[in-house]
Amino acid sequence: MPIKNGDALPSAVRTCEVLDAQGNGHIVHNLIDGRPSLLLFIRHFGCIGCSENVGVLAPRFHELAQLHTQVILIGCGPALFIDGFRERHNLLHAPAQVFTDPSLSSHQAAGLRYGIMGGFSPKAIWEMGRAFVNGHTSDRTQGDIRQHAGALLIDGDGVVRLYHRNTTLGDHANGQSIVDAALSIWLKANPDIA
Amino acid sequence: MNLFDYLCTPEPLVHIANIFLLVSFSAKSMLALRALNIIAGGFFIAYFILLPQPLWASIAWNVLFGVVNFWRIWLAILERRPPHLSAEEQALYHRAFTTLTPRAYRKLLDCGQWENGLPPVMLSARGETPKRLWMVAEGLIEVRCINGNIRPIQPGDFVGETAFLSKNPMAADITIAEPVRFISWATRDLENFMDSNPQIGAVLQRLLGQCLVRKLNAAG
Repeated sequence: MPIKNGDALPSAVRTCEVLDAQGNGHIVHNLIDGRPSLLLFIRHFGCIGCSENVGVLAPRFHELAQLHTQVILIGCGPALFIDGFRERHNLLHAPAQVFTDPSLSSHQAAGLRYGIMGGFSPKAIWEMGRAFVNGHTSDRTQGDIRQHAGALLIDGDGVVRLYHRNTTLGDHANGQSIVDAALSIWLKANPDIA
Repeated sequence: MNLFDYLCTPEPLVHIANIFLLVSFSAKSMLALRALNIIAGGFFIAYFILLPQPLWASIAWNVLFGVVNFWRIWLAILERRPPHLSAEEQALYHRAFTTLTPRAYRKLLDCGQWENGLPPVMLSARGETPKRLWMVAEGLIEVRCINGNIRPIQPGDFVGETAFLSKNPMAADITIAEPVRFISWATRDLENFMDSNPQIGAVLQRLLGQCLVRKLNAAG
């Protein structure tokens, strides 16, 4: 079931376990730790659409960090691909943590789409071409190609302030909307400055 | 000749080709313009081949135009690829250059050179006009002022930016205090780079200004 803005982050998402690059498990609730967080779900680590997604959003990660919003990327491939993904996308020292959930339980709990058509429909193929022309490439499959991406921005109280559920591989969450929502969260938490 | 007979002649191909050419003239994107030109060229080639006497010279020219357009499109796509940055280049990017795009940062790095330094090497002495601008990636560089004050230069800060911006000699000695890893640019090369890449140059000017303000604030 898709999540609505204003809903509390479902406990099914909170209790999921994701893996870091060393294969160590972390509970999503502990990662969030009561802080405003962007949970950026991506498809498999070699996906051309996700390369485009990260390429578009990564320049905004510093803005999010300045707004005290942490960025948690969650892929769906084996943990051994995390380091290569971070290096390829110049995320080695970026204010973003990368995890993976090969069980897909967190993706499912977040209500993200699952199916082959999102990656191979005419729209998806057009988006693949667009991503290629924009300089992105597809690496070999590093995860489940049927799992789709999405984004969840939650505030410090665990309330969802932005939810995006990708319909196809090029249907990304809008970076400006994410930063705007993070700014709203920050302003709400800092009423004196607002 | 009825419409069907007309459509079976090569002539409609030349109109289709010219329509694509016409549309390409209004394309804002260079990639779209070239892609439309390639499609138009394909129709021109088909037209010239299907003539009772194929026009081989025109066919050859259109093939050549197509090859050039394909090549330029490929180069444009390569130009858009995310640049490869080593771990230390990524660290410096996230520390100091996030206002540049990764590709612009790559160009800036390619204009400079990475260096290692050991204490107590002096990078520049008071009264000299340095021929290089430095940025510390790791380690510690100290500025020794004439009044004896010592100010540390932290990773992510420029060294020699005052002289670079003002063209005046240094007012302090710059010495390496701890083993240091830094990148440096020859001032002449960097000026040429900023002139030929004005957008990157503008961002770099801002970064230099911010660094200067940071140091002034730290100096109280």
